[in-house]
Amino acid sequence: MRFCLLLLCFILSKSICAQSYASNPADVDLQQLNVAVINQHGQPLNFYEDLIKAKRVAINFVFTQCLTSCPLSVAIFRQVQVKLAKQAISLISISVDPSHDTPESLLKLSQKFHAQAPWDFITGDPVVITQLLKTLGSYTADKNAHSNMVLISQADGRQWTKLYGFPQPKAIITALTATPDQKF
Amino acid sequence: MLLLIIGNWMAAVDAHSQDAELLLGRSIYHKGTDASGSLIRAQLALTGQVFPATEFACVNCHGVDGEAGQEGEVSIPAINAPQLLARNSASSVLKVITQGLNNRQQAISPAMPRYTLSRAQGQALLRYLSILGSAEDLDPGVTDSEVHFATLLPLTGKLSARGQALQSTLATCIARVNRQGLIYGRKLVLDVIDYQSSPEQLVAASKRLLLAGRSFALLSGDVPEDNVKFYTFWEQTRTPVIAPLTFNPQPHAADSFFYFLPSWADQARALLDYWLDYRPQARRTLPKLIVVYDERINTTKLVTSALAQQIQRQHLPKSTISFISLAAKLGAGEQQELTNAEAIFFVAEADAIKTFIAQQPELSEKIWLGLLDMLGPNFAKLSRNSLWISPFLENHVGEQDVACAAVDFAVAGLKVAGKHLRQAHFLKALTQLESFAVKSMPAFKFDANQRVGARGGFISIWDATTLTFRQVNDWIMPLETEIKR
Repeated sequence: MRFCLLLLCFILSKSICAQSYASNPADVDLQQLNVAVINQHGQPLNFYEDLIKAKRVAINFVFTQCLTSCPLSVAIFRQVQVKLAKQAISLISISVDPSHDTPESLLKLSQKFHAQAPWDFITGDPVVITQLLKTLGSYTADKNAHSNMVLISQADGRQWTKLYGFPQPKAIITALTATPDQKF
Repeated sequence: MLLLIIGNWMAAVDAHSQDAELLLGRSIYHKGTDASGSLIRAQLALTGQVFPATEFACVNCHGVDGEAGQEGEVSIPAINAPQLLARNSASSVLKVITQGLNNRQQAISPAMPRYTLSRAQGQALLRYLSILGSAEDLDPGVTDSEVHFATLLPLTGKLSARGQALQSTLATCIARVNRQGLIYGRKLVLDVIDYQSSPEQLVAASKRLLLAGRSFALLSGDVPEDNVKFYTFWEQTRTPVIAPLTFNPQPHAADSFFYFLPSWADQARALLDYWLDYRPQARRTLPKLIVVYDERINTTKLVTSALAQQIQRQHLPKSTISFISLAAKLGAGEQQELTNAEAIFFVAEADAIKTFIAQQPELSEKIWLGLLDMLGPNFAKLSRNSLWISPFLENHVGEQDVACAAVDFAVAGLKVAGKHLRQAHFLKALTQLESFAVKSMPAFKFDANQRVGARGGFISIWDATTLTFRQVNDWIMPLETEIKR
């Protein structure tokens, strides 16, 4: 009996396993990144000053009640972290559900996947986080429709790269380790 | 005749085996584990990482009924009974699940993990997939005519009087509900499990209950103050647990837990707030409070920490509050502090404190503050001037009311969850209930971060003249934000 191609085609058509592709988006407004957030340890941070400035950063978007794509996103980031252990890179996972995601619930999520520093799971005032997500081009009114893209920031946030289509660790690593302005 | 008996016995065994297989398959699909807790591994194709399948249970992506869905950029195909095994061989489905290969040996989406299953586990999962989402697919404890709630009580042993009283109350309340009519054609059935007044037996009894596979949810039930193992066991099963009777709810509990009673810590904070606002010298002098605690009680640390934090919220200096352990030998400094104290807050059981009080006669002149259900009314009656907090109001709200309220809460959830009854839908329905209250307690509202319905309590004064407890106000909740002084 033929295996149901529906099982494959729908998934493939949504490019979960398709090649992830990158685009260099319009500049992200750095002023809009100067906002107060809080990480999984309850530590208050300035998003730009503490997490973006002078760092190579990969950002993904998750929420703790998401059981489908988010665990996978976090697992992928952990793989990236392991493979780039000796390199100076930072990871950020931003909650798209700041109304419900507390530092404690984000800490639980990070511990499940053995996330190590420097990897910040971010939440905060819902108004502030919503604006942050809009600035990064990742806001959706329905958290369940959130994007699985990964944002890479280099050069103090002056160069951004978006990886769509559920990027695999290799693609993220390539983007993170590229020199600024390098095409890949 | 003998052949008939053997035939019937074999049919019973066979039916039992099928039920056990279905139970196993359901457990694997919904919880990523078999009922005995054996580890099933899930390997992520995208990274090669291996995780317990409990983190990547089938239900997480495919839903409780195996219907198609979308989350983020992930499209989930339908795999419920009519769609999947009707059109695909069992072996090909198993190959997808365990190897990520379709029947052309091509890799499927790497978003789906590859699961390591034993032969029995694979067979059980396929068996379950053959009914997934169909009318035959009923959660444990659910039939067309009944829904079973289990309760764990100490029916024997030193706590048996309490356990038997609760059993009687729950049975009465459930009978009342059933007299009022069926819920989508189902009556409620209460299964009572005796854990013999032994905290060690509580988890063992829980395991037996889970393996039996006949309980839709846990209802009320008595749990010891140290209930971490109980919580951890049931939390991973995602079984709804409604109103376990404890003043020590687990912090940041999962959304399958619905605690009704306020924690010792929240009661203590509320009592402290009340005393600070209503002490006669409130406007003239800074308060001075000594907390006398028993470090052998597991929850002591939570309570003392909560009291220290509450002093901060009240914007009072740290010197407002001092802590003295019952285990410590009192030095001159502590003696002086006791002498200077305005009030003493006891965080201990009555027997532990009596000796301490006998050695410090001057304490009888101080105001005593305490948690009434920790110390007991007989201890309170030793005081001359004291304030007590409890979620129970004498002759009005008691533990039995909480047990019956748990039944009413469950019924309200069942009515919303619908005819095709699922634990997941039931949990969602319970979380969406608003303004549910236990008699004169404030209304409960649960959400992802709020798993305890009641916070605070009723304040009462022990009147040594009239030898009565006098309630002094309505329910008081602890202050949550800092105040400016």
